[in-house]
Amino acid sequence: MTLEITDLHARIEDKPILKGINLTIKTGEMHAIMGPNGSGKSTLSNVIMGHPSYEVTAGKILLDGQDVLQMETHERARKGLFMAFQYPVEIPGITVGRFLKRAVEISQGLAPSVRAPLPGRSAPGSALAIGAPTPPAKPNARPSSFVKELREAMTFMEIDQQFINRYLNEGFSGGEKKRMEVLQMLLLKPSFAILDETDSGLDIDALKVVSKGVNHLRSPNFGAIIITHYQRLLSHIRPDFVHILYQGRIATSGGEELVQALEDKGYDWVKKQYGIEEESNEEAVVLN
Amino acid sequence: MKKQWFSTNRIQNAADSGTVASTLGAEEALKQQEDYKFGFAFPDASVFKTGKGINESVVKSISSHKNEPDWMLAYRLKSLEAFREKSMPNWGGDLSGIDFENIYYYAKPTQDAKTKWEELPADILETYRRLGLPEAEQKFLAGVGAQYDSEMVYHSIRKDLEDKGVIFTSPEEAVLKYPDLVKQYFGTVIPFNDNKFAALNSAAWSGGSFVYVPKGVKVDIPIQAYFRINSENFGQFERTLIIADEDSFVHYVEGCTAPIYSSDSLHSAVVEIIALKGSRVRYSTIQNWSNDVYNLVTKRAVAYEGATVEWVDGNLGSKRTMKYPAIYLKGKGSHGEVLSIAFASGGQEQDTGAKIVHLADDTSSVVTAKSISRSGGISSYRGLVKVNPGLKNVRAHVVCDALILDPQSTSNTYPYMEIHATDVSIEHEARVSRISEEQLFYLQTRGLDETEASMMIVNGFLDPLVKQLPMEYAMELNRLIELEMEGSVG
Amino acid sequence: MQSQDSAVKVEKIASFTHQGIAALDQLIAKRLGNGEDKLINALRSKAALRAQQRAWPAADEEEWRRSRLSAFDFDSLLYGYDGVANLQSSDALIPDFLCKPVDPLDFDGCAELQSDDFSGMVKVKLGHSSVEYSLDVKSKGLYVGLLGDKSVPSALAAKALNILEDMIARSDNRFQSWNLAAYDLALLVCVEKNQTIEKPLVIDWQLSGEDKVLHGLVIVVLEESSSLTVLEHQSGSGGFLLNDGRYANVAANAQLNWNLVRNVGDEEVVVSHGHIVVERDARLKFAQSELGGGWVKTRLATDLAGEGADVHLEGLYFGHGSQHVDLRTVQNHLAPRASSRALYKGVVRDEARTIYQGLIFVAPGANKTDAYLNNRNLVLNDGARADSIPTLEIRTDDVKCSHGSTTSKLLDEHLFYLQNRGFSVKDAKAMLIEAFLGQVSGSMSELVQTKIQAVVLGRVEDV
Repeated sequence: MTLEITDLHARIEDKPILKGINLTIKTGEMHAIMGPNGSGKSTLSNVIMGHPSYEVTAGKILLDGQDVLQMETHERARKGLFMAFQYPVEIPGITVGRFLKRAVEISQGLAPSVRAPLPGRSAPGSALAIGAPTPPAKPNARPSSFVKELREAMTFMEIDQQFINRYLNEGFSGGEKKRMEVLQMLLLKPSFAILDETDSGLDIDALKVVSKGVNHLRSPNFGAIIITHYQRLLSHIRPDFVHILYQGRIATSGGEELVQALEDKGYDWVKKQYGIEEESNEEAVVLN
Repeated sequence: MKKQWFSTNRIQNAADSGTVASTLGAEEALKQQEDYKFGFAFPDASVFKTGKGINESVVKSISSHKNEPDWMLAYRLKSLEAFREKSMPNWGGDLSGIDFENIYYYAKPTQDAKTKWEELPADILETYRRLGLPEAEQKFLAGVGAQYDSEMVYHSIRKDLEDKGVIFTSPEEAVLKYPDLVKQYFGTVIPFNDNKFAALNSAAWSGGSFVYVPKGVKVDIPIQAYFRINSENFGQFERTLIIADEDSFVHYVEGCTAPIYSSDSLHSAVVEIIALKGSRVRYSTIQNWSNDVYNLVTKRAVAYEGATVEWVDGNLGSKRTMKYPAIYLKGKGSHGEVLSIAFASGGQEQDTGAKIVHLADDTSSVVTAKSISRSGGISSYRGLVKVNPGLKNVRAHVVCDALILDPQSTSNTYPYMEIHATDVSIEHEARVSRISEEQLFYLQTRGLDETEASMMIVNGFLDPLVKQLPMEYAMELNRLIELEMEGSVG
Repeated sequence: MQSQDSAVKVEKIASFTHQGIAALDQLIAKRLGNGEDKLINALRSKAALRAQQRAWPAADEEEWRRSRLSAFDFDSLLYGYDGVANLQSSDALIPDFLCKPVDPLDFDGCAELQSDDFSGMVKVKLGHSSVEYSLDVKSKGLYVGLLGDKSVPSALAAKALNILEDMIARSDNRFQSWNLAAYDLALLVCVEKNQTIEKPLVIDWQLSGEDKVLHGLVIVVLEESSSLTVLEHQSGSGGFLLNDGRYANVAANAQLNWNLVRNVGDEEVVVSHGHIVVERDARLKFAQSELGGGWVKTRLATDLAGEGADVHLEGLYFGHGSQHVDLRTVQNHLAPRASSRALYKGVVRDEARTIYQGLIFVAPGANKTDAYLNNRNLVLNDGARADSIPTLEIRTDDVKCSHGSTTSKLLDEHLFYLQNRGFSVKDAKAMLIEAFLGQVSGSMSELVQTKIQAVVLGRVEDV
């Protein structure tokens, strides 16, 4: 599959952030996108997934020729796009187990249903005649295989099994949240994943676990965009392509060697090398 | 010093009525025709119906149809007097739409209550079949009562419980068969003149349940009553009295529906629970009235030494609901719990809550309330925690959370804490919030569409409460909320 | 330095012996006869009409349900009004409720205060044979005077009149309208645009009078980006009803910090209304300390009327003897992105009863509101009673609102801990009560804390 981004412009409120992004990713490829704060990294990932706060003002995103920008966020997800959030949200009251089960059902093409069974309870044969009784949905025939897969994936991601019954991301540490994001990715098996600064704030052990998860998915059927601020992650997940995002544009692209060059010389080097002029003092401050 | 302008400086520390009231102005929300699944109705085939309005002759007629003894008729008549004298509440929902003169107070659907479903008239049987009641009875109920308009048309209880002395019948039958028990407890928890609607019920009551669980008997699975309004402009005034003798246990479940008519019906029940020493009573209601029903119910329990009373109160539907299940913790070491869930959609006002009165040492109470407002609906939590003077070791904890789904909707919280004692720990917290855009987006990136994502967040909001329900009710409640939520997003 | 030394002017007025609401029209006419400004006098009549149209608050009004009036005959009270004395500030002594502790850890003395430590000092005496006030104001941009005199520039005085007119129109009970019709004097406090008044302004009310009603009124105008701190104290006894009002407008980006310490005698009746409008990006911090009064009923309403407005309300109260203290606060969120906090802490002992009623109201469209309301009560003995009614009325969805309320006794484990450190039970209790209230008093001006502390300590001595 191919994800093709052409001349993408986007803004938040009245502030233009992306100013013409061109990027083509095929399954089987790992692309790293690096850039300083404020360069538009997170905007790019949110725009790919259709966050309502961002407005696309020009350009296209095509997934195997289909117009992604015309799709609702959930349709994008169902087509195989996935984002691991930089700041995963907490959703009190929904257990990890229940949430993942439903998400996996959807990814397997099961009809979306508002009749999600309750957590940790298998449905009975009939409802009681209170209020408005009708039999509830039949118990899902597959929970055992799902639960088995979930448990394996949790073990692989070194997440305690207790988390199945915890509310989604509520009270999780930063590292636990990031592991949970990668766990979801493992279970949902997307065609393309965007990892939005999944490494920031992680200690080295957590970083290794997260990297292990991403590398596990590496295959001809999986492509990824790894958005990061730091070179560190890229020694664990080795990218096929590296792009430097700067002031809303891709300033340069290359292979792994670009990572080292950037590490050695800093973003100033990119600026000089590629003749980018400062747009405002404000952004210069961010750079330093 | 003269100071003739005030009679005493020790002013008015005494005697508030302790009733729950508020300045909440009435607000006429948009009337919205909802997709109400139980809106079917069969033609009115009552075997007897009084004229509209209520007066002495209507009350006498109800009484004579029930072959009541004189003492009950006298009770009804003095209640009618109290109803006339009492004023309408000046707080809570807007009740100006109630026209007491345009309501039928009594409609008798059959000559007598049956103990076999097949004996019911075909249309009534069909109603309960559609509601799934006979099937549920077979599967997981210890007893079932079914009320159609004014009368219980069906009552049955599992044989082994009957043999142990458990009584589950209509209050009419109880008046005739167990007059001593009825005389001892009827109207003792909620006096006939407690409030206007309790007085109306005491005058016009018909149907309901009478439950007596003997000493030490534990009824292991729930008994259920089902209340159905079929007639238009009808007032249903069922009366329920539950007596749990020492160290007994019973779980009573109640469900309600009505068809949709263009004019309003009134449901004004009175429920009294007496939980004697060491007993435990759980009363679960999930009400899902159609949007033309005024649902004004007085529910009150008394818990004696070491007893526990739990109200589980789910309120969906209706036009206005005013209902504050109360527990008077009268015995040392007694415990009370109220779980309240309210869902107010367009044109609806759910004014619900709980009332806990601590009257003895070592008593504790927990109130958990969750409300959801959408499409201009108004949810109000109104609650009272009162601790009488001099009590030792009293604990009360109240949490109310509200979710508002759109800017047109309203959420109010009116907690009243009247603490007259020192050895207490009283806590109250409340939060109001909405579904955040970030949560929605997150779930959508995992493939859930907006409706399902909202649904999931709403379910999550209710989960800590729903988890405490028996599974069947939890399933049912979730499904009802899903029905309410359908088409609510966007 | 600005001087406002008006000439001594004592009006000789025959004693006014009419009583109650019924005499309002006569009272107002008399004031007109004495040369009161016609416009101001007409506003009095407007307020009088509202007072006459209403009955005394009844028990079926939620706000008054717990504070019944049946024991009183307000209509038999004499007016405190007997002329106005505008005295020059010859006796600008530092009021004794102010104390700058010598040692912050040990309250064993007050450092000497100079009148230069304050931006101004106002002393008002109500209830004597005449109504007097004296004035000493010396900060640039700060104007203090009486409604109707010329101490305040006319543009500022006009703003004060607007507030008065607005509050008359919005007054919703008889006491409030009564005060706005019959005020003995209306103190104007105004700060000009962009002026930061560093030193506090002191308002010291000395109240007396038997079977009298005393009507104090303060109107504060803060122009854009100005700031002011007010330290207000009320004391006195004799058997009066104090029915007072506080109204203010805090314009964009201005900051008003107001500490009110009410410490009238235990036999006085106090009814008080306040309403403060806080505009865009403006900040209000109002701290109220209710220590005295046999029967006290107050309401402080705030309008968060502009985006980014920020309101902090704090209160402490200590009911003892047979005191009845009923306090209400309102956080009216009328604009988006405003935030408000209310924290009221109370102690109640003996046969006293305290009531706290708080309301957070969020109007439609007031999105991103962040509001919190917290009430904590400490009940020291059986027979004492604390009611807590923190309410929310939310009319939009994009809000963060919550409230909390707790009522408890002194915890045994805390007492035990302190006893382990050598404190006697009595000292331990005193310390815990002080600590409980300290969260509120500690945020008030250092200059009034000592007074509050002294009153509190006096009340816990025999706990």
